Amino acid sequence: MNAYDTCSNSEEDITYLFNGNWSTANSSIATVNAYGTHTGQGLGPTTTSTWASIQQWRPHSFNCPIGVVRPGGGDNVNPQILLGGCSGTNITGSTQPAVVGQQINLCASYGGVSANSQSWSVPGTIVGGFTIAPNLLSGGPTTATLNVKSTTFYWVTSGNSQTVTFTLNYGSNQVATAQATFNIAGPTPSTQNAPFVTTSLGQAAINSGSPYPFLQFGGTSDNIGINFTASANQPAGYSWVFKWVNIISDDNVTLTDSNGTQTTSLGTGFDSNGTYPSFSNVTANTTNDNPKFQLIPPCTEIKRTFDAQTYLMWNAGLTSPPSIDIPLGSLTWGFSGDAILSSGTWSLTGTPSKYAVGFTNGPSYPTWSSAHFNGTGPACP
Amino acid sequence: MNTFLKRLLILIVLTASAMSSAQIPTTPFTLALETKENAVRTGSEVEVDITLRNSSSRAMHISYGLSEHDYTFEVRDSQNRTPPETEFARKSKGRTNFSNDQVFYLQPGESLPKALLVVSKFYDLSRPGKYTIQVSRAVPKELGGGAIKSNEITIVVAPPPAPR
Repeated sequence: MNAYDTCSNSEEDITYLFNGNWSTANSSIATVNAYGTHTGQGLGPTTTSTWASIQQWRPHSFNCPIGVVRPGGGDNVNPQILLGGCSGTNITGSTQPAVVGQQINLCASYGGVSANSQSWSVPGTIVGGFTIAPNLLSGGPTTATLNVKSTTFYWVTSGNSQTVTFTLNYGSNQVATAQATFNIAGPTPSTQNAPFVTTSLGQAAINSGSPYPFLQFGGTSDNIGINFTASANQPAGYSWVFKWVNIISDDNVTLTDSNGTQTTSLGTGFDSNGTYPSFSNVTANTTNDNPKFQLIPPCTEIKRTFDAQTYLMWNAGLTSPPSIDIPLGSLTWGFSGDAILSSGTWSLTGTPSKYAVGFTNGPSYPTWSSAHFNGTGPACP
Repeated sequence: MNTFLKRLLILIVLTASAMSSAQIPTTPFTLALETKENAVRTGSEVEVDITLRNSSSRAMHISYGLSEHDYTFEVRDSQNRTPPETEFARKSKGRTNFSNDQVFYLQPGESLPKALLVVSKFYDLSRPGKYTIQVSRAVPKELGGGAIKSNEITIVVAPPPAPR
């Protein structure tokens, strides 16, 4: 506060004169220290006041009247949103940068108020996490818990000006809110509405192998089974990586020998050679798959039908805390082939089939409750 | 033999030698075998990582699938004996196998992603002692055929801690 000193004809800061005289009407809502610094203790309105004796003073004389001023005002204490947990940074009312798959840990701070209920409202698509069982037998997204004081979630979709609102119901059905806004970066299609992935298909073939050949979809440099190419505008500043998750819906082999014919499922679910994700990246934005099945004696005919859904996942590459994989979309594809042994040589019979349905961009996660582990298959009948 | 003929003979031998060494085909790739743990307790998994590197001067297509299908491996104990196979390995014999494979186009000097091979899935390495492991991979015909071996690594399987 400034006052005009008529003795010296100048403005003077007299804030210090109020020191030690501050008080609030309801100290369970707000307290104030000797220097006028207010601290919220609860939620709601209260008033604050102070006073000071003001006197113009000249050395050796008191020639001006003394006066007392009693300024005051209102306090209105609302919850705060803390980013990074309950010891985190107050981001209430501000705009924060974020990226899809980044862990967002928000905590509401509202002093010692007893909450009747509380909830977070988060725009866009979010998940509470993406979990994969250590044995790979199950996997999928988890739901974020939003009716708690402290919540953790991950955005799956990007977007600017995404406002998160915390709402607290307390006391006699009183409501207090706090908001924070996020600009969420993420990969976007290279052109509007373009799919994130394009594919090209090869064909089923008999490929050499040791000690036995394979019935394989593709498998050679001039015949790749299915080739996936991802394309996206990437947000700057991240060590992002694409990942490929394949969920097999159907994989049956029919083996024939002199004992008869037997059809066996090679399994459904998460397609794995023993690790996550399903396919290794061949380059930063491409991979391919060439499923193969060994043609062993004494089988004389082996047929295979295979149908799968491949998801493109993206990870921002954050490490502390780690970012999770988020889906960019998926496509379905498959093939079939029939190999027959004649005069000691395997060859294709009938017409092998193949298909791939165009990639659909979207935030749906792959979910599985079984795994298709590659490895050992059935014996001939 | 006069001096001229001697010199001519030496020249022919040197030229032939030089031509011969120039024509020695370089190995198309190398296999590096490593393990994170050279010493494990009995009963623990014994895992090795295999890195295939294009050591030739030209790009090559090569597939990357299930390690136990892509590579053959040899395990020996300290008496140079092959340890017993696991029940899983015995049961796998005579059965089909299948995998998903990615076909890579490796430029000279580039490597496939590390391939994990769980050796203890196929050999019973529960008996304490030293084991040497080496893997090899068939070279595709278009790259010259044959097989290439990795370095050999030694893993020590330690007995369980003595009960207190």
